[in-house]
Amino acid sequence: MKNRPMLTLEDCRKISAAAEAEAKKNNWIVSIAILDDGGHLLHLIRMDGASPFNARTAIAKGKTAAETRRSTLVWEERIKAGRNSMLGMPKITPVQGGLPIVVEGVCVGGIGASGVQSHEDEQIVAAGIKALGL
Amino acid sequence: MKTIRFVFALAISWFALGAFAQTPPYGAPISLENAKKAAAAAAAEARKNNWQMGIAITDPNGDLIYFERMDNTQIGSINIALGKARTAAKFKRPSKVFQDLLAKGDNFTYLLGLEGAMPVQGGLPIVMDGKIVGAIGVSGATGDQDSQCATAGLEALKK
Repeated sequence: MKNRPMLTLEDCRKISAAAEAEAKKNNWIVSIAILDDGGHLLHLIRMDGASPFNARTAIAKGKTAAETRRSTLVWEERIKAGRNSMLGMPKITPVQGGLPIVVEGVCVGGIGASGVQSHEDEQIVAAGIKALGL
Repeated sequence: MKTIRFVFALAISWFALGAFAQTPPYGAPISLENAKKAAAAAAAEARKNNWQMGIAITDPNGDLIYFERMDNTQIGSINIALGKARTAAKFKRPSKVFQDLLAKGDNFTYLLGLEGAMPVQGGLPIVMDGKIVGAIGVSGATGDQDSQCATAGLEALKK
């Protein structure tokens, strides 16, 4: 039987706390969402002052990264390079700030942030994943 | 007779929902810190009983502020937890109010047509300093068990 790694709530709390700390350190107000490998919500925080839109966007970025197993920046750049047809695929959010969470070569989910500049959003989620100590 | 019954039904429904019109006013959204505190208490109650739950905390508008899903919680409970919290926030009352009224019979089936009202217990408004600051929604076990965890979440904010 094949086994697959899965994110536990404990993992999510650890990732989210590290990402939130990274945002706080920089005085950034954001929302951070973690989703499983099917793009279903596992964990979400919306920091005081962040908008409902930030929460929705964080989920959308994390979902894109989880489902496509790629950074949302990859999609942003491919579309920027002229592949507009990518926008016709099943719903993706091609905006930097979402990263897949890969464990032992398997994508176990995705994390997305929204609230500051896109590259800063990515810095936040990267700090979150780093906390897993992979 | 029919008219009388209809008027009677209207009167009851007015009484049922209208009587709760003295709900607290909406206030500023609950802080993330308090949202985490409430969710942690709800999750602790679930863990104690070996239940797996999705727990959602929204602001007074019904928009997510905090969410967590315990290990092995059924996927369906994600949106149910959020739906219950949204119901409590948007209608300023526990989602159980709708469930109980529907159980009273056909006179209340119109409640199924209320947009955004999920008539399933487990969603509660969060009231702090006399104002609705958000709502908590819990899903994963039976309605009573979901409510028990949501209530535990509220209790944590009173301490």
